[in-house]
Amino acid sequence: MKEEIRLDINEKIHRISVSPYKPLRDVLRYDLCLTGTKESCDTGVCGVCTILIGDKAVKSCLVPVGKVVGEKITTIEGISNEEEFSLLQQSFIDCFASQCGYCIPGFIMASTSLLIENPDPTIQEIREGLSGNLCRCTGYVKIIDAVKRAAEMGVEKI
Amino acid sequence: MSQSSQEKSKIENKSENRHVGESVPRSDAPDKVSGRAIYAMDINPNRVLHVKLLTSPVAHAKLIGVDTTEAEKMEGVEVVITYEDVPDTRRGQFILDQPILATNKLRYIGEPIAAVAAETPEMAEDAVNLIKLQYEELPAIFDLEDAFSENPQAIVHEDVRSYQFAKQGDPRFEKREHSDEEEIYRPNLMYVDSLEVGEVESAFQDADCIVEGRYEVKSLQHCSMEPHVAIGQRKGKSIKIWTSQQVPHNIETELCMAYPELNPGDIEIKAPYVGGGFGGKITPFMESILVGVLNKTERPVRLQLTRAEEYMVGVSRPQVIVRVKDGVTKDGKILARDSEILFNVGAYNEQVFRCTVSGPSITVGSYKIPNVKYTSCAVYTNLPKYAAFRGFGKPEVNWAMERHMDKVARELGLDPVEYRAKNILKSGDTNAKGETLGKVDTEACLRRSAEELESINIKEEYPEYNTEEWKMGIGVAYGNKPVSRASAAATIKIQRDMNVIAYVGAPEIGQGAETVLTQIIAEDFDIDLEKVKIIAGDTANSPYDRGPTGSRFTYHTGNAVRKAVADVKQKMFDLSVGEFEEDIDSSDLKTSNGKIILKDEETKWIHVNDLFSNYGQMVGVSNTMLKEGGELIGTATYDSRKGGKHHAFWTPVGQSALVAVNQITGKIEVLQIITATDVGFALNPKSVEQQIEGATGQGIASALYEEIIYENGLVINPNFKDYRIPGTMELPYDSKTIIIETKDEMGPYGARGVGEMGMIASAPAIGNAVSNALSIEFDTIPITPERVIEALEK
Repeated sequence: MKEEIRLDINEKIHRISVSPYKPLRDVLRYDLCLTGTKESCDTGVCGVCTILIGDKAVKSCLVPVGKVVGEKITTIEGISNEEEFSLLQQSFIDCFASQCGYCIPGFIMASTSLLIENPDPTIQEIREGLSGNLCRCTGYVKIIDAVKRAAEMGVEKI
Repeated sequence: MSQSSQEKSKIENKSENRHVGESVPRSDAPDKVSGRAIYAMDINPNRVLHVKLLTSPVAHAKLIGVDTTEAEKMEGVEVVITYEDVPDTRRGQFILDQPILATNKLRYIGEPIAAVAAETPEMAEDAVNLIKLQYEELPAIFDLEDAFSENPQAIVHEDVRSYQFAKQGDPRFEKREHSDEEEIYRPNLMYVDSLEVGEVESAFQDADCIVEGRYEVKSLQHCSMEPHVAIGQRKGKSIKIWTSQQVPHNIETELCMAYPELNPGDIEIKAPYVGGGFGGKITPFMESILVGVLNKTERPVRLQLTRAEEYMVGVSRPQVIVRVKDGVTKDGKILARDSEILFNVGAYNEQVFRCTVSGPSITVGSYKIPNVKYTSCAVYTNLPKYAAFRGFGKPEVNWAMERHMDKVARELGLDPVEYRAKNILKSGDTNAKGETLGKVDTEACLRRSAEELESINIKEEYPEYNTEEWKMGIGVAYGNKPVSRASAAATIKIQRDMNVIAYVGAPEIGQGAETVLTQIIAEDFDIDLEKVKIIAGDTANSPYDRGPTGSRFTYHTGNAVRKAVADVKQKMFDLSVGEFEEDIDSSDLKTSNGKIILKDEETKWIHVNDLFSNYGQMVGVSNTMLKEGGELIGTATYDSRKGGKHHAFWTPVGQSALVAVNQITGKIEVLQIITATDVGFALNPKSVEQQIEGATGQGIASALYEEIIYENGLVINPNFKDYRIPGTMELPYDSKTIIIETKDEMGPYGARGVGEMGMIASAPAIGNAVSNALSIEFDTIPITPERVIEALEK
């Protein structure tokens, strides 16, 4: 059954009529056209659908949309504006961290959350912090480099 | 850590070039880090119908009936199709064996039988469940060696000898027919490729030592992060399909073969950014069904595979079994090699034919072996279909060859690196197939990677593994990867203000295609990178391209754009001659930053804008129309197939690994992996590192982690929980790339292809390291903790 649901996404209020059991990922992608959040494994393993709820990285394929009413949701589209990338995004560009790029929005979201929690992580802490996200192209080396570099440059609050 | 060292020649070159050889940031990266990049998966038109497939629940059966009555009546269902609604054609690459939807037989669990298009995916799924199937089960065959036998308990295709070969324009395949060897009647044998050079049997008699081995590679999945998805729309006879595919032109060609009423002009294939391919997105096993649905509706339709369907309906890397026998002298010269290679095709051929033909090149391409014999067989089983995975069979065969090299070295008491170096084929040498290696430093690849490994002070750097529980080992492997000949075309248009648009057929699948082409074009015109725009992966707009497969893109498409630039430059100079006051010839001109300059008198120049008309229709000036009329367009094809039967080039790679093996848990950690490869010329060194690190990661995955598990033909781990893709904790951060540059004579700016190289020798390097650590020979990959424990218990 559809319900009227009010969502706070990227600092905008969206009102939609949708089943509260629909995965947040599908609401973002198919009801709100926020396609930067990707879909891949459907089982909460790969992390391409990672978004932030508050400052916490969450896999949006596992979250029924009804559970996040009233929460502050941030997707990749809310990380930066047209003109300026976040330090982390710029660092992903500069470090050649993306190849096919399909997993990258998820990695940016997971890394953003990681750096909010731990602004100066070691390489090992970055590896542990990103272990919930999969990438098939890169072998992760340059993704880890990008997060380390962003941390060294001092990531500010997003 | 990410680091690369390059040869000195590189630094000397730097000053000559403005863009090539520089690690310019990837042009697709801003779209990809911002979530703005659009993939086929993101295309979801209004009023789209969602397609779900009914697939075979049994591995082998006679199909008697498909009753769709109930499904058709269901609310929300728009289209239901079965074999009766599509042409009775057979599809396939090289050998045509596959109906669009199952007709009279079911040959694997997952084979598409019917498709339903409905208002929502859930409705389509419900309708699929209402379709009634009538079938009569047959004995099935899953074991590769059993299937290969002369009396298998099941025959997958009774009429394989009558199947046609597709004529796809490649001279190596044009004359293909079922060969004589197949007459040694093995009912599940799809195809045999063989070679015999020299006096193999007598060479074995002359050998001091003969070493035999059997090696196996289990099947694994491409696991592109973007699953297969295709969205189509038909208007009258015209069909447009947006799809996650590597080779749009191939999809178009094969669809026209499957649907004889379609002409190439009727169908447009568009591949936007592709979320990974690795060989899994080359054939239209989805699009061919989508067209059947489109023929019944003018609404847009969308077919997306679930992750589980990727394993069952989609394609995976084949299981391969290799038997090899080497005859050597006691001082370590290889006299003879005899290999028998079995490739598991699965139930239908998608790409394994090609693996069967090209995989064995690796048995003759690395070392100087005067007497060589191989038989490479493609064998049908009742398993889901297999396809090429980053290397067209070569990484699988090289697993066997390079594990075997270590075993022979041990047998002879020789150092494994020295044994390889003694036999390695070098620049100017001719291999057993009669191919002479061009300018390339093969030995440097082997030695540099090994030396780098030896320079590690293991005890000092890894004290935590210096315990009873852990054993450490090192391993080296080498491979020389041939790249097939192919053709690629490019069209280049110059607009006002020297804005350049290049149209190419190959899409950006993550390999950095757009970026290197931009660098080449900007270099050749001597303009800023920002002036170049690439339009790619669209059969309606782009000329033919064999696609980004087999490490061939940079070399072939790179050469095609260089030729197209030369073509359009000539036109530009011819038009410019009349604009100068002096009496000049077009060969006196050069171009830089939009100026067309007299070479000997640089103060004399015109601007490209002087060639354009000021009489645009609406806006006053035209961006594209020339004063002469028409547009400034150049086009060219680079067709390396004219060079004959042999490969376009070979890229050598040496890889070495340091591993730690836990004797209690069986866990293996790759602590360092070092890759040295002679790329010819690194057009974009950081992009080269990307390719090496990524392919090496997949090589490690194949060596230690990934295996599709089947139970009576059913994939029992078709998800990322049970099929473990290595993550940030599993793949080593210490992955080092050594770039060696011996310029290729034909490649663009001397560049060779590099996409697959990290995959060629990484698995055997790790296998050799694990075997070295435990002094136990591991011949099957993946070397999982279970296989380690089992071996230790023996």
